[in-house]
Amino acid sequence: MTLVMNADAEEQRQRLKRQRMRSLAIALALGALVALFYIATIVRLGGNVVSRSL
Amino acid sequence: MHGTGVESEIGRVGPVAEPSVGDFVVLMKPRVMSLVLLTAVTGMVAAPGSIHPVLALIALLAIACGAGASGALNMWYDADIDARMARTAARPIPRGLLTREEALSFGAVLSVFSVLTLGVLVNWTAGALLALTIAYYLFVYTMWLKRRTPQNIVIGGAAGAFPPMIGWAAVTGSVSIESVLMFLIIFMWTPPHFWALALYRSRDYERVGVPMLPVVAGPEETRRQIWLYSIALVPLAVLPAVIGLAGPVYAAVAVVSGAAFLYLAWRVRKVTEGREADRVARQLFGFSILYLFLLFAVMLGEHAVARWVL
Repeated sequence: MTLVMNADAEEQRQRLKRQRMRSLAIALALGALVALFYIATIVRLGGNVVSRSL
Repeated sequence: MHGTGVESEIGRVGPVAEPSVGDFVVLMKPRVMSLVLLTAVTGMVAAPGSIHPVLALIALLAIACGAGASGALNMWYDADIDARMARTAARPIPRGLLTREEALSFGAVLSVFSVLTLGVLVNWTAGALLALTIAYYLFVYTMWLKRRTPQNIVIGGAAGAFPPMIGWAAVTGSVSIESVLMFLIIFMWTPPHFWALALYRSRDYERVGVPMLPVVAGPEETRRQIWLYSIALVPLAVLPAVIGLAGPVYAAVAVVSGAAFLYLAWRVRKVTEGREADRVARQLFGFSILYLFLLFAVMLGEHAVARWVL
């Protein structure tokens, strides 16, 4: 009985750990994507930001 | 073949160890990805016009991620047969390092983001071609053809041939005869490359019921087909030098390495018995990778020199 409970607890711990890792990976990937889009936007705009007519 | 005992085991057993970043990298088939990147860079550099270096890097990153996504989705779908083939049994899902669900969600998310990134930040012709490549590899090759017909890698091989076209489109926003030629070279290269492997791995394919040519039509017919495709491939690979897409160095490399390719394909056709037959098939398989690498690396080198040195 105790063995089964221990196995369940271990499985739960593993599942939570994988969930945390997945969340962290998604957060990092989204952060990288935001940075990528920001950099690409700056590159695409180039000097046009400065030279626009006022 | 789906629904076998092995597949249900893979689905239920789940992970036996902690997944690492490395397991996800393996899921993306990094060796295939390196050839995809080389051919895509060649398409970009050979294309007329220019692209900002940062946007070029973003395009390559998106193409690499798209290729990786295709690999992950392929491993998700084929986990049942991968577990029973010597060549693929050590992949992360059969080893229990990742679940099929993880591979599916990783591949699907990566596919969507790579296509959106390429489309929004570079151009939608390249984005659409990348989407087509991923969809073709997953739906046409992996899900439809692979387990149904010995022509699986002939038709499915198109998926691996798109990257130079995507690279070209990233710069020009269009598809041209030159990028179609690069596509055709990889398209014609794929059958002799894969059938050479299938010749000495035919028992693996037979066991899991994948109708590769040696399993269905026999090794003799496979050897004949390898020879025929090689005869078509080698002159085709010289064509870029004829139409001005590549220069004299490329022409020399294409002729010399093409002759070596034909020699090995001929040996595969003639040596049909015992270990020596397996050995020559392995030689052709190994050389075919070097051959494609050489063609695209030299074409890339020539264009890079012409663009930035001369």
